[in-house]
Amino acid sequence: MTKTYSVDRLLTEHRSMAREIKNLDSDMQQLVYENYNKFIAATDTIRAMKTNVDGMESDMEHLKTNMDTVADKSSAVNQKLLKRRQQVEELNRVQNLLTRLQAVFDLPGRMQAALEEDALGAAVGFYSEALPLLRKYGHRGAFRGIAAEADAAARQVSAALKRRLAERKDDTEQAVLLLRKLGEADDTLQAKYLQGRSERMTRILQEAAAVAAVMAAVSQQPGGAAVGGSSSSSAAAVPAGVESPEAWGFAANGTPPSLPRFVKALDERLINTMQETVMNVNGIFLQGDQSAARRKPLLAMAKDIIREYFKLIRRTVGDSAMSAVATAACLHLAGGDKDFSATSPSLDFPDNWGTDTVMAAMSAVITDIGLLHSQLPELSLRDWAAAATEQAVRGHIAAAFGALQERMSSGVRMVTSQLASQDGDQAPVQPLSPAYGYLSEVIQRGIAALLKGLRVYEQHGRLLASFQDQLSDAVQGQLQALFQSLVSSFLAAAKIKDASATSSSSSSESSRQPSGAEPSTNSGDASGSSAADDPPKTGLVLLLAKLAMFMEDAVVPAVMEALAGSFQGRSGFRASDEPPPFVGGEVARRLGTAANLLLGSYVDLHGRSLSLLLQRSVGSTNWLHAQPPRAPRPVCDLLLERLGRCEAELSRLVDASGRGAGPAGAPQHQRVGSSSEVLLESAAVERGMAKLFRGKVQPFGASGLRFTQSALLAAVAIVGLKSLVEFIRLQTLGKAGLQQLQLDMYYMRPRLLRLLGGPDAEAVGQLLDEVVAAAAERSTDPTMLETATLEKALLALSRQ
Amino acid sequence: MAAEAITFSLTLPSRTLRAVPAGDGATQWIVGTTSLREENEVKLLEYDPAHDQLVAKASWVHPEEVWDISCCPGHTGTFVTAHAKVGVYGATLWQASDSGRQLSRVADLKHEGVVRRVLWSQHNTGQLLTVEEGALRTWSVGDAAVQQTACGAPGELEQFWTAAPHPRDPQLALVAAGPGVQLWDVQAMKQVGGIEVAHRMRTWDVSWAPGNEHRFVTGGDDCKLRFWDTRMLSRPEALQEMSGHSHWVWGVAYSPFHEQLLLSSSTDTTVNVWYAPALAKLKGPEAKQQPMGVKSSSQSSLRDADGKAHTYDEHEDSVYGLAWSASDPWLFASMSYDGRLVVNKVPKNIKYKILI
Repeated sequence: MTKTYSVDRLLTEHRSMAREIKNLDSDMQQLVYENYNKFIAATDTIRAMKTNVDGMESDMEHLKTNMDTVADKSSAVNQKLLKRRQQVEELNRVQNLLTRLQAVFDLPGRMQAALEEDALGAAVGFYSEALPLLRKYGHRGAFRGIAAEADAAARQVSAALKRRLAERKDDTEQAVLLLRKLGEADDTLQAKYLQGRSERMTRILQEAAAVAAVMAAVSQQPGGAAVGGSSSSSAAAVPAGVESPEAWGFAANGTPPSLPRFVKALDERLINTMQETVMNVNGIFLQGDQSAARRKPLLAMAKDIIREYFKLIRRTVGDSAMSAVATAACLHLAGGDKDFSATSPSLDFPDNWGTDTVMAAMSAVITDIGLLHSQLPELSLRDWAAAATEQAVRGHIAAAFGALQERMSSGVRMVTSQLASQDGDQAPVQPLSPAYGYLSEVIQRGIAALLKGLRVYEQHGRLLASFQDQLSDAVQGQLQALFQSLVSSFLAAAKIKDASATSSSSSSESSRQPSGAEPSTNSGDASGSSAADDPPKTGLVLLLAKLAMFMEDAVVPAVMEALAGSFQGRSGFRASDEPPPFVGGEVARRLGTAANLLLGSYVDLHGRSLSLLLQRSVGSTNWLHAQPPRAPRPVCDLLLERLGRCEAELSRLVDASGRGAGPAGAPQHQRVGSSSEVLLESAAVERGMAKLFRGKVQPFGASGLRFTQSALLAAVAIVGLKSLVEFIRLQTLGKAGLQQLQLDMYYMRPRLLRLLGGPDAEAVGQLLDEVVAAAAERSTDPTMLETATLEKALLALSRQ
Repeated sequence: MAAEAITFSLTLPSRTLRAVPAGDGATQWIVGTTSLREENEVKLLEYDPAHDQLVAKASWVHPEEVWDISCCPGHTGTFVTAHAKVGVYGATLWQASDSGRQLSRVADLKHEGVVRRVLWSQHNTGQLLTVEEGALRTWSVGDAAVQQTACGAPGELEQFWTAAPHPRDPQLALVAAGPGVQLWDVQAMKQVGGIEVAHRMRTWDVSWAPGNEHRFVTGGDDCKLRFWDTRMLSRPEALQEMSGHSHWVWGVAYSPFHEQLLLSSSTDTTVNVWYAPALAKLKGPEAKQQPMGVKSSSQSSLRDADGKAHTYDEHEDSVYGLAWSASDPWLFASMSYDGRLVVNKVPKNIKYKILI
């Protein structure tokens, strides 16, 4: 400003500033004057405050002491009031007690009232409620009277209960429970209680048994429940004594429940009742005392009941399995088979052999019994259930095989009777071939279906874990037994005694001739009349032989294959009393043996009939003084006819291999010529003949008979001719006798050889020579006829 | 298995082979030929154990066919034959001279029909039994004469074939008649029992068991051996049967020493040895009850099962003659129609099974 402003201006500024300062100074003076009072007042106040605070100290002290006094006073009051309060509470409690005591006082009256209304349960309830009180105070003052009254009432109740116990059987255990609550002594009560429970459960079991009986009855009806016989509902009336059929699973129309359903219903009742019993006994009689001695009666009762239970289960499951397998084996259908049609419905074996049903029932049993296990550990119920399961399964398997076996043997029986009714070989139209087809189908399909049905067990491995191996063994053992019994039934049907497995069957060697009293009536026909003692039908024997061979060749390998797939037995130790598992080789061997036996028997039957024929013809001829021969004896034609019939039979079942192979004509003439020369020689040459013949005379050597028409037929012829040789050797012949035989054999040779054909004819031809040789040896004059003479005789015969 | 067979050949057809009752411990058999047109002979053969061969001790000319022979116990040179000549049958008691081939005819036993069998009593050297088709006769033998003591008939339409006197009871004899077997009391000469049908058509031979007085075996034309008990003859069922021949069983013979051992010969040219330990153990008349399946499961019982133990097939014709040695329990002879005689021993394994 000094630089820029002029002095005037500066002076002006100076004046204005001086004026302003003067103004400001006066203002300040003004302000001080105005506020002076306030300063004074403040100063005064501060001074007053200072003096006041100093006075307050002592007041505060005073206040504190006063407060302490107040606190003391207050606690003193509280102390004094506490006693009173306790008294009030005590009084309150007494008041409650008195209220309850009021109930006690009422007790006798209420009990009396309940007693009068026969509501013993209620009476006991009242009494047992009041009992602790009475126990405690019953000896004091007014309670004494009440206790006495209540006890009297209780005694009345108890007496009433005992009366009821004696009179009414049905709710014994209830009464016992009540009595027990009334404090009666244990021993008899527990016994009575258990008895009552036991009776109750026995009733359940009886009811169940009745239901089971109906189930069994229904399932045994033709058609079975499975086929859905609506007509069977009337027959299957709900049995008397079963109160609520629906609860047992009866359908509305009275169809009995299925097995699993039944088991469930039974378990629901019985197992629950048992559980309740155990709980009650534990709670009331034992009261925590679980010593073995105290539990003994309970255990005994439970054991009895559960034994019965398992018995029933076993029976029911057994029945059910039985009917299931019977259905599966088509036993009911098989009765309807009249012919041997391969399309018969009885050949369609279903795959359901009831395995699932059995397993469902047994798994229910195992589960439910398992519930009891924790309560009755002493009885080892799980083991029991497992054993029952094993038994049921075994039973089922056995039943299944039994049914199949029954099916097969009924098939065999039917074929037997059908063949018997076909009046023997008079009518050579025996349906051998269809019958064979039928039986082989039954066997093959039946076994396959059964194995398939049993394979279902493998899906239940959990239940059968402990017993899987035994199961396989059981199946295998049963299979083995099945084959064995089939073999023996074949042999029995053929009336052959199996030397390797002699059974006590009486069917074997009762065959007899009509005791020789009238030998001519029995023409030696192997199938003449149909008496029980008759030798078996040759056709049947042949059929069975073929069947045995079929089983050996086809069925056994199939079964072994199936077994390899599923029922693998354990390889380890096997107790000696167990049935052996299935041994295919052994079974095949047995079948082979049986087939050989049957074939042997077949040859034997025919051979014997020829032998008989020849014995008679030899016996009825005067060989020493016979007429010179003109024609072959009729026995030759008879023999040929027999063989022809045999051949017809064979042609139905046996492959025609080897037949008609060798033309039976020219060569034989030479042999006759040569043999007549040979025969004139003596023993040395005859032995040479025998050498040729040796080995061939045995129609069934070690290797067994071949199953061909010509082999079998030749075997029959050989047996017959061999017998003829023996008969001749016992005779002494004249010249004519020898020549007659020579002519007979000459006549038969071409015819026989034509019939036989094939390689086996050789042996038969030699045996014909053997007959003539034997005759020559036993002849007083071994002069033979010339071949030309023989030809002439036969030519003359054919001209007639 | 079986020891080497010893063979001996008669040149003529032959049917009969019998053991000579044991005298000095040597094994002797007597055989006869059955030739219609040639001269027959009777031969006494002895087994020589030192050289294991068969030696002909004596040979006598016998004019007729010899159908059966029986030696007097203790007198080897005295025997009786059943014979035939051109259809005429008879029986004669012979006395052989020590030297020479001639027999002296002591006495003819007069018969009416076909004589099948002659049997010298093993209990009483003065007694003979002959089997004729239509009659059973006992004879008492004197110094130079034979007297018929009794005669019995087989019954309607039956024909006797052979007989077997009981080994210990001189009263009893089994007689094969047609298909059946009859039990005779030969002193009272009456039938005391029988099986009507033992085999289907003919019973060809019977033999008593050595140890069990009730047991006997029959063989017949149904190729089977059947075992019976005299206490159960009314029952049609045999105690046991065994099969193993393919034609008639012509001869059966229980071992005279061992209950388990049997022989059979057959027209199928074979001779079988049978081993029947189980049957031998079974004493009662009841048939064996074999539990099913036991047999197959147990190896030991399979090995010791009753049945055919061995087959001898040295013969080439029907084997009619069959006899054990009277002194060696393991030796036996068989003879086929062609005259071949074979001596065999029981297989060693069977022998040891029995002995041990």
